Amino acid sequence: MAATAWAQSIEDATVTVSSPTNVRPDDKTRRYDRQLRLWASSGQSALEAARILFVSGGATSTSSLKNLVLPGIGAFTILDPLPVTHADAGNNFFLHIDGIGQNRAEEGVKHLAELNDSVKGTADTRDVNALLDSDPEFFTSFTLVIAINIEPATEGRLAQALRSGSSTPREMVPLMIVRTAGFYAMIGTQIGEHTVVDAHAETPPTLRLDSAFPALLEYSRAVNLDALDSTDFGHVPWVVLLVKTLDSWRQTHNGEMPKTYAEKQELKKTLEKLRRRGDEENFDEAVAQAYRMWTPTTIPSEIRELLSDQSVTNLKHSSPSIFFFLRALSLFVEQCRFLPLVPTLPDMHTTTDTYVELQNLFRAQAEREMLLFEDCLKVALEEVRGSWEERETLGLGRTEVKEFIRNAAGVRVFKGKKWGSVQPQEIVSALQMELESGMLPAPAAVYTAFLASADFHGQHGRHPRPTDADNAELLQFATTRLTAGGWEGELPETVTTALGEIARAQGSDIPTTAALVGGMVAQEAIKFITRQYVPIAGTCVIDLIKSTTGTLPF
Amino acid sequence: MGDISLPAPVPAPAWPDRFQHVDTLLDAPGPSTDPDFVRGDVVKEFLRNQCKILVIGAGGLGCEILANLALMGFADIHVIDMDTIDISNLNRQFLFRPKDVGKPKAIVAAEFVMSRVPGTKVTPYFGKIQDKDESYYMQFNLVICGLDSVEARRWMNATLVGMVDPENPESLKPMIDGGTEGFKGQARVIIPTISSCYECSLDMLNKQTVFPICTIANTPRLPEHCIEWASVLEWPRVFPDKKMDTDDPDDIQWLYERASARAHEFKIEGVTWSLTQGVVKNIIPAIASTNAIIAASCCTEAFKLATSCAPALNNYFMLIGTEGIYSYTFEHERRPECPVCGGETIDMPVKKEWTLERLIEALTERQDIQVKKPSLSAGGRSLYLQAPPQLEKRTRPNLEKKLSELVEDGDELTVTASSLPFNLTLRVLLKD
Ligand SMILES: [Zn+2]
Repeated sequence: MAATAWAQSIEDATVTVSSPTNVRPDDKTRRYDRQLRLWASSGQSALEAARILFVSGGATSTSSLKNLVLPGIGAFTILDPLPVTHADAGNNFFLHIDGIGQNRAEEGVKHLAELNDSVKGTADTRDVNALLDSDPEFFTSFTLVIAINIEPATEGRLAQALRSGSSTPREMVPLMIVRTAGFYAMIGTQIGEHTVVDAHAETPPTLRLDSAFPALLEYSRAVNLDALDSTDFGHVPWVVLLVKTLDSWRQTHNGEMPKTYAEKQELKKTLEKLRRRGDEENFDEAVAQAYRMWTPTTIPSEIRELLSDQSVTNLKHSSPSIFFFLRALSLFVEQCRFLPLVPTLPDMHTTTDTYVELQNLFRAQAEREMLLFEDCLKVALEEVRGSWEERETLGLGRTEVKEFIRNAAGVRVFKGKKWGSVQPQEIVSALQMELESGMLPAPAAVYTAFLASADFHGQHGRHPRPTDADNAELLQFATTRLTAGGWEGELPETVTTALGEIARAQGSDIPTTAALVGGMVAQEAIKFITRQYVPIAGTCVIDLIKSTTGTLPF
Repeated sequence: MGDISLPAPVPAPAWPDRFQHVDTLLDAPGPSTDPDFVRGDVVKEFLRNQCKILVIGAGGLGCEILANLALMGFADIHVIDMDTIDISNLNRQFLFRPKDVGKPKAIVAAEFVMSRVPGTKVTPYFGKIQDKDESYYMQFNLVICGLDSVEARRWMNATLVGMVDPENPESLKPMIDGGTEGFKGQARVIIPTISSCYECSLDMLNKQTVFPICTIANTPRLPEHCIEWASVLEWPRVFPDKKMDTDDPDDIQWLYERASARAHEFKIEGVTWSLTQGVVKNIIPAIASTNAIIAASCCTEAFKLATSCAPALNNYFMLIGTEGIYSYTFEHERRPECPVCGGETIDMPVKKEWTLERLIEALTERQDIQVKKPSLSAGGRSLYLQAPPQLEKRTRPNLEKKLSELVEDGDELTVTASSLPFNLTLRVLLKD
């Protein structure tokens, strides 16, 4: 992580959890220190406001919950009418042999609640299907719903209830659906619309050196390298060296940028020729960063696509703040061709004074662009007959503006698919692709096995077993599924292997698979809730026989 | 670390169907299972009554590993950890509660797992891995490391590789190693002398940021530079006889105040309490979910190795959870010049006009060696020794000498360091 970004996120983390930055952290900040360094106080507040529903209280559910209770989600509910069996107590760390016969939700909540006093846990012993009949609004009252190892038919009903329960995709409660069987698992999602406000991309912010802003250009031109003594010469920051070098090159090339490979190499040589001794550290850094002279500053394609999305072009007064910002960004980009400057300067070999001076130039420019961005925001507000006085109430204040600009390059909006809408052709083409690549992993094969196993369960009301009869029937279900998608001939070995393994597993929820999947479910839940980092788009298939994971696009 | 009473195991109660889920994998082979797999009672007997497994670390990964192993049916588990519980562990180390702060991790974790999973025996050792010798490590079938220290992993890896006796198959102890940072992590299986070892892959580690002393002393630019100044230069100057305790909030407060004053003087922004603590303790962000994934991956592989019910990972699993769920499974190749498991000497190209000091600097910068404060000798002749002080003083003049005065082209140098669990041999290649 770049040192400056690091400083930024930690500062942010400390600011609101314990107010001033100069005092020792309180107990809560100390307890959450290692996670605040990732998602900061904004992410933590989102977690603390979240209410999560788990449908069924098996080992994978409690393993997932453990990873959400520890970092301090607001509240959770386990919905499960079943009693704890001997087998449940044997494979679930949050059940105990003493609780056999008691309700599984109540026992699970009891042991999970011990992990964190500030989290509220509720056991609901009603049946999910009965509840879907009597009170479908129950499900839409949560921030996130996670269904683990429930009947495939119930998965569909639940997904439908969440879709019907919201008038727009944006308001739809996200759903994660998880199935496990022995060493295999799959995690699917149904999301309406999900916005990532900070992707935590690891690419450092652009300094726009290919077209330096006027003050930087002026500053660089004023540095006369020939007049410097050797100490000062060795402390000219690489940013200035690059701007100068590119500037003089353009002056002798009709103002053009270097385009061909030869031109770029020539430019790099010009830079090298400026050296006096050959081992100046600032020049070492400049040479390593030379690509910045000819890498055009562009708007990331994801952002460009996003700006022309309907939710941005068709802004409404009721739109969430992020879409106001994006509309403003699109107006800004029309004028400036760039995203607003982020004033984070990487460390570089130079003196303190020069560094501070340079940093101030970047900050001043960022400030100018921020004000320009606010003008655009004002226009966006007026477009929907809003007034500038409303900015604070709409979440468009100065602090939010600055935060948006800092993360603008990492903003993403996902449009989800509804659960169960995958077409047989999509599965077949994913399968063909993974067969052609011949490499690990083989998610489409395992996914097919899960579908066949669900078909089997639908027919017989039980999981397949490793018998010849069940194997033959599984193969038949898989063949029917894939033939519907255009598959011809015998099924590939990857699929028959997966079918054999899924029959062997008999729908078992083994502790290590539960723990691994529980970790992944919690990571995704945290991403959905905090709107930070990028969640899965599609279905993740976990194959712990091959120790691989793969994500299918549907 | 003597008189702490050790927890006792709870006897296994009668518990039909206890392993109903796990048994599906042990009662029948799958299409990918090795033909040597013996299904049913034989494999269960080995797993539940004979197999002895060692867990190194009872922290973020260790807590998860212990719980997983117990549930999978490993019944004789040993755990080593030298740390005590801190409040900042509670966001992920789920076997500990606020009342446990200050107690030894290994003991509290062992106690908790034994009470939650009756019939499991967890034997804790509150101390260092270096306290134990080969005869101790020889008793285990498998070792799982859930450590945050590179140095401890290197020691464990070198010890297990060194124990391999080709005449005695029992001396081969697979080592499973996990590590996490934020939303990312990795798990790997090391079969000593057969597959790539920990040392073989040292160059895959992220390079740690080291700030040059001259930057810290003369030209600070970042808040981190000011903090390093306070801890590396100011602390020893003001308290020459007192060792800094980074766990003591008073010490952090002092550093924070000094660093802030320096930052103010140089017009640098961004020194905070939290950053100060992060820099001096080299804090790595850590969350329960990532630890759960990596620990479960380690335990899945331990279970597969112990039972042969499915092929084990060959040999590296890397997870990146920041953008979707992305993972990459691959075979990391052995390095023939690995100082632990390879036979070939490492070449060290140097320039003739370099001084010995310049060579040492180049050596400490090598990502594939990672050595701090090395001592060097050539053919039994000491070139430079870091300790004891008399010898350091006697060999110090060599630091200024040119390499061409000290060694011949192709000479072999022996490198030792307290952080290096083995002696390293380098072949010097003198270039003009
Ligand atoms: Zn090796």
